[in-house]
Amino acid sequence: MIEIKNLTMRYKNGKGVGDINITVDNGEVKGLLGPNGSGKSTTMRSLMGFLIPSEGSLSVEGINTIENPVEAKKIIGYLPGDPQLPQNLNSKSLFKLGADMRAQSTNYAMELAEKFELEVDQTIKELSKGNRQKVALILAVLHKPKALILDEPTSGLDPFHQRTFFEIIKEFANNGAAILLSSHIISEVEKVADSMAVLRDGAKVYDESYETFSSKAIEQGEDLEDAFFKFYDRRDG
Amino acid sequence: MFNYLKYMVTVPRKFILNWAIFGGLYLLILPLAFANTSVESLLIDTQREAFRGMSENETMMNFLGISDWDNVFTLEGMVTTYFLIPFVPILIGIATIILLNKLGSKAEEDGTFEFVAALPMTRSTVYLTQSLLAVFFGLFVTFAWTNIMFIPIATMELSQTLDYVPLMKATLQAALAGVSFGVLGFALGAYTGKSSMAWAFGGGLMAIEYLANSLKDTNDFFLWIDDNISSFGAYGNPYQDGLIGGDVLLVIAKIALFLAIGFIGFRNRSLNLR
Repeated sequence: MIEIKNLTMRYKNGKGVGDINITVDNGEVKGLLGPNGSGKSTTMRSLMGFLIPSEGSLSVEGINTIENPVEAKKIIGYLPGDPQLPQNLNSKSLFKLGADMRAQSTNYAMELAEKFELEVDQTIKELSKGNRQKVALILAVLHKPKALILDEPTSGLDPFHQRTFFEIIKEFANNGAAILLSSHIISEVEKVADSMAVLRDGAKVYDESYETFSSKAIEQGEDLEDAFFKFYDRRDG
Repeated sequence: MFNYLKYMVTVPRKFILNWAIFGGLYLLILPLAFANTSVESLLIDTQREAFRGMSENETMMNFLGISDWDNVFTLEGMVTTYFLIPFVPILIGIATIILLNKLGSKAEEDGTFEFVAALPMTRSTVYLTQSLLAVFFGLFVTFAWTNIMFIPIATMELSQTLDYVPLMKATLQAALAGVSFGVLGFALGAYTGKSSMAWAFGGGLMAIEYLANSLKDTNDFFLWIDDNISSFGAYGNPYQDGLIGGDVLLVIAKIALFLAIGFIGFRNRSLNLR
């Protein structure tokens, strides 16, 4: 279970997030939606302990991620929004490092690499953007974490491998993992999420099951994208 | 900690090896200049006389750290008073800042550190491992240089020679001076998460101490810096006099102080991720 309670994290320029409350139950996939600068990455980075919040309590499976980062990170899989990896290492050695740091084997990583048709001996420098994203995704899940925090996970993936990715996410959810996944795009969340939270200017403005959101939209005769844009008063572009 | 250290050595391995090996190969020119009389005459005697005019300019001599012009043109003089001071501290300071920026503050700015930060380690473990690398990189590279340079001294008939143990003592003293500048840069990079701060403070201290060393005879303030806090000033002549406890302790204390400052800052701040 992922619990974000009263999270407030402000940057020097005053931007950031304020009083965010989000809960993701075990087995649930929650989409965290919002445009650039709405606070998705700030929320996720605070949860990972990269940013020090001024207020709030952040925990995964009851482990406070700020006070007990080692135990928390052992059970969290994290994918950054724009994953940058060491250019001169190959995927295989990165998987080995990730696995060694958590006393795991690389078997699952290699299995996923095969699913994603990834050349594990190529250095990161030699890989395309999409293939780098695959490496970062595998690094996030190779230790079979109980919680997944994924910042725009499908960025750069072709539709075929997006499907593979969604299958993996569903498998994790079926095995009881709590998954928080950020996106700009409602149609992406539609494919995999059970619930969705919407951020606007650093504040949470919506948090419901996906079913509730879509049935309301249908009742009002709106398509999902229009209903989503209503949160930002951008219905007419 | 071990796995992270392995990662930190593996990622910049080419950088580390290039600095260690090519610097040492370049320095072979010093002992090889004394390999036969015609080379010695061309490289040493000619240079000594051609630039003798420079020895009359006291400021220039101070800037180059030279007190005795003729002594510079001996193997011992070249190595101990010209190469090990001031060039080793400057080069090691610069190389340490580049390396630790690559793995620390610059990695935060370009995003590669986010991958490391997601691994199950405390900030203390990350910082202490980086500190180990910061200290041992400078020592490793300097000892690699002088040991490569020592190969012809040990194996060839040269007109002048150097003793191994005093040379290693001088190497340690010079390496520690370089580490003190590099570590300040690393520590301030870690404190702020900004690579520019690493250069401003590490490079700044190096410039101030070098200036103080060069101008110590002209100004009491510079003399005080050189006598009391400068890593250049603490160098002395370890090849002839051995290591002096107080001088070595001063540089080690500076290294420990800078590392402690970085530790305090790095543990309690948000990462400077883009």
